[in-house]
Amino acid sequence: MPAPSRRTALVVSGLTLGVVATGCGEGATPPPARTGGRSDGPDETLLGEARTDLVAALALVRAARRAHPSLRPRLVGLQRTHRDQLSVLDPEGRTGPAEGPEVPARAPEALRSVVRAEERLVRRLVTWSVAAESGPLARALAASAAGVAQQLALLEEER
Amino acid sequence: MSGTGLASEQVADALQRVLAVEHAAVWTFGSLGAATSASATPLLLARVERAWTAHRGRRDRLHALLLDLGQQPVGSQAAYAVPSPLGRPVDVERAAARVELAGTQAWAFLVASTTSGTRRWAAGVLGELAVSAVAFGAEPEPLPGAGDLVGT
Repeated sequence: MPAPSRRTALVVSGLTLGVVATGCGEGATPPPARTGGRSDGPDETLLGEARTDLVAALALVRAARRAHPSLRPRLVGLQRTHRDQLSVLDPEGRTGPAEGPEVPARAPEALRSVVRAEERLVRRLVTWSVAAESGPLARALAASAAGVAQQLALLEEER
Repeated sequence: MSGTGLASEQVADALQRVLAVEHAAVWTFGSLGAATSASATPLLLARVERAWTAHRGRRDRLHALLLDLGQQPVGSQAAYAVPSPLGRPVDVERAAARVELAGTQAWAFLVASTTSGTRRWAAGVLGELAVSAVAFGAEPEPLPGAGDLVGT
């Protein structure tokens, strides 16, 4: 994973504080977190879960590519995607490594296992996005789900 | 539905911005459909028509949400800039991908600006647009609609 820049570190801390500027064309103003006061606690917990799942997903993709050289080209996009997502959501690499995931012995089954895990990840990222108090965090999580959905669509196209 | 805990003016403003983007998308996909040959590229035409139908549905729902909020929905412009050139199928695909990518930014903004059911809908549309963009040939992105967060 590339070393996080200072700005990236500021961005990720901003995700749970609701201070990252987002926009929809010129002149858009950053949406604040919900009005009426909020606690950072729930979003920190939610972000931690998202990071853990992303680390686990990346570990499975890497393990599948290691175990099955024939899958390397097909899964390289997912690997890059998760690496880049973690560079945004966990720029300091606070999340510990995932336990060594089990990879099926046959490549087609390994691929199916990766796809199932990624489909589940998309659902969870959307759920966390909806649950997030911070608008910017919700945006980052929903965008991460969309990024994984793109990779799944490309994998489906190649079948 | 939307706006729990968020000022309704902020939600309405975000919905208006995204509605304006959807008006443009409906118009542009109409132009792309007109520029696509049903006999030479039927699959491309089907994809363009699917996208057009999807954008019309989103536009209509945004319109209804704004009325529910007591707001006058922003109307479409008389015309939009026609993507150019559109002579070849690859031109149509490129233009379609650009529209869908612009949509991801708008809908990601809506995710950030709303809550609960509307946010869930916005997140779903964001995913749909991201997938549609790559189907039209766009490069995949780690965070479609939030590329400003990557590589900074």
